[in-house]
Amino acid sequence: MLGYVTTEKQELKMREYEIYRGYYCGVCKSIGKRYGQIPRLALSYDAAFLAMVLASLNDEPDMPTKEHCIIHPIKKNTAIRNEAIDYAADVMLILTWHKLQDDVNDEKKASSRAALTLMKPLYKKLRKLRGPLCDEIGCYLGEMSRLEKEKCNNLDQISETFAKILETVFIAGAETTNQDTQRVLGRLGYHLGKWIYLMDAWDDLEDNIKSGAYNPLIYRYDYDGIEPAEAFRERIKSTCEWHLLVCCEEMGKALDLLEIQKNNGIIENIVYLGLLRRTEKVLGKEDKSNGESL
Amino acid sequence: MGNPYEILGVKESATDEEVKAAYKVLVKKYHPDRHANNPLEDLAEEKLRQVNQAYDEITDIRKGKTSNTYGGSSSSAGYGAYGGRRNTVSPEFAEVRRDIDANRLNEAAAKLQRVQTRTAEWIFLDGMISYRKGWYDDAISKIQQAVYMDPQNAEYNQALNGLRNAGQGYRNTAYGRGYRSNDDMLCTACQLYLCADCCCDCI
Repeated sequence: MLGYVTTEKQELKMREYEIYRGYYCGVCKSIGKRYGQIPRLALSYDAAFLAMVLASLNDEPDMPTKEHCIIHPIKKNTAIRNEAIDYAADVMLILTWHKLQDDVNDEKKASSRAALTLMKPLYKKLRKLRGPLCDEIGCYLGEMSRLEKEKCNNLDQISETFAKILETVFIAGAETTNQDTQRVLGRLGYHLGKWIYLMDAWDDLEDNIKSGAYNPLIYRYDYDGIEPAEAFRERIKSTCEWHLLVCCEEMGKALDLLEIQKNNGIIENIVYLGLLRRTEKVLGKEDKSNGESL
Repeated sequence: MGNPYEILGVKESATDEEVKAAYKVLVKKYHPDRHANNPLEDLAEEKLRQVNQAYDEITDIRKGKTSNTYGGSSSSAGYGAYGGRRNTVSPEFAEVRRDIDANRLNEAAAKLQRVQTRTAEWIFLDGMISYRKGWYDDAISKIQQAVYMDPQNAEYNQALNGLRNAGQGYRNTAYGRGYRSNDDMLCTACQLYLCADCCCDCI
């Protein structure tokens, strides 16, 4: 995933901020402890959100510990450990593995090939640990690259491949067997996946037009290759905005139905403030210089 | 059924006004208008039923058995009860609609395919299947087409408006929960301060 999912820091309470950092650092620590230092680079805030939602379903208190960190060696950081965090770390690595594979296949990048070789033993471990999840993710990504090769112009269909991945990820990560909770989680994941996919497509539009790489928006909205990229972007902007916000709205509705036991404030902050901030920023409604969230 | 105070998220010592305020917030959250045509509609319905029942119970306890739920005396008929929002429905689509309501989308689509004439209702229902699937691009164009073919139909218009304004609903909730647009100068200043603050964090 790409790190679009963040909080609106100024609206968090100090304590909430500390816990959020704890989840973020917790994912990183979880990777470091189980797989070594290098794969930590795969870390993104999206994983912290996944871990936080899954962990919120039980009321075991979060136990933050102060730990030293390789990236900030002097200062001690808050880190939280729980199973949801381990799970989110694994998901992040599985997605990274597939991303590298994709890069090797499509762009024949030497750096990706090297990284892939390095990551091979790690992926073996992941497969042993979470085989069915690896298979399902691989299956949807296969479908995605098939549609990309076909130059798919159906935005719903292509974005659904990533939506399904996150749907699966959210459902498989929950300890609960309650079907209603699974339905809610699935819907939350589905729309998060769709939102991320569309955000990425919108974000990469100019680059893809220049390089000739596939972008669903080019095919869905019949870009003729002559129109300036900026004008094209302006033309499809309100439709894309609508689409992104529909996804956010559905996430909000699903979230309202989730039986959250802890960290409600942080999760709501991300879904209602962080996602909207990101959407507006990417749509260019905001000055790009406005800082990152953490 | 759990503790009614817990369901409303208030302490037992809360004043009547506080209970009422909490109740209103939850009713808004689970309101049928918000969750209409959504695959999770049944869960919202259940939540609303619990909230109504909890509010009923609390008012019963406090006022000596005189119920005070909005819109009726029994909990099931409380504020914002579901149902009765459809106008004209042709019988040939009754089963398709039942399937859609029960989230049996593949069955609904298969039944729809067996109907030859593409009436406005056919296209509308096809659009609603897409909507439930999360295929919003497809859904909005089909529902638009249904409205175009039958401009007076309240159901189609309502669905179209709901879909068109979905983002606005989200935005309103976000503003209600403290989202500040960056046009606000003071806020920009805050952000700059926060950026500086972040930099300090890193050191």
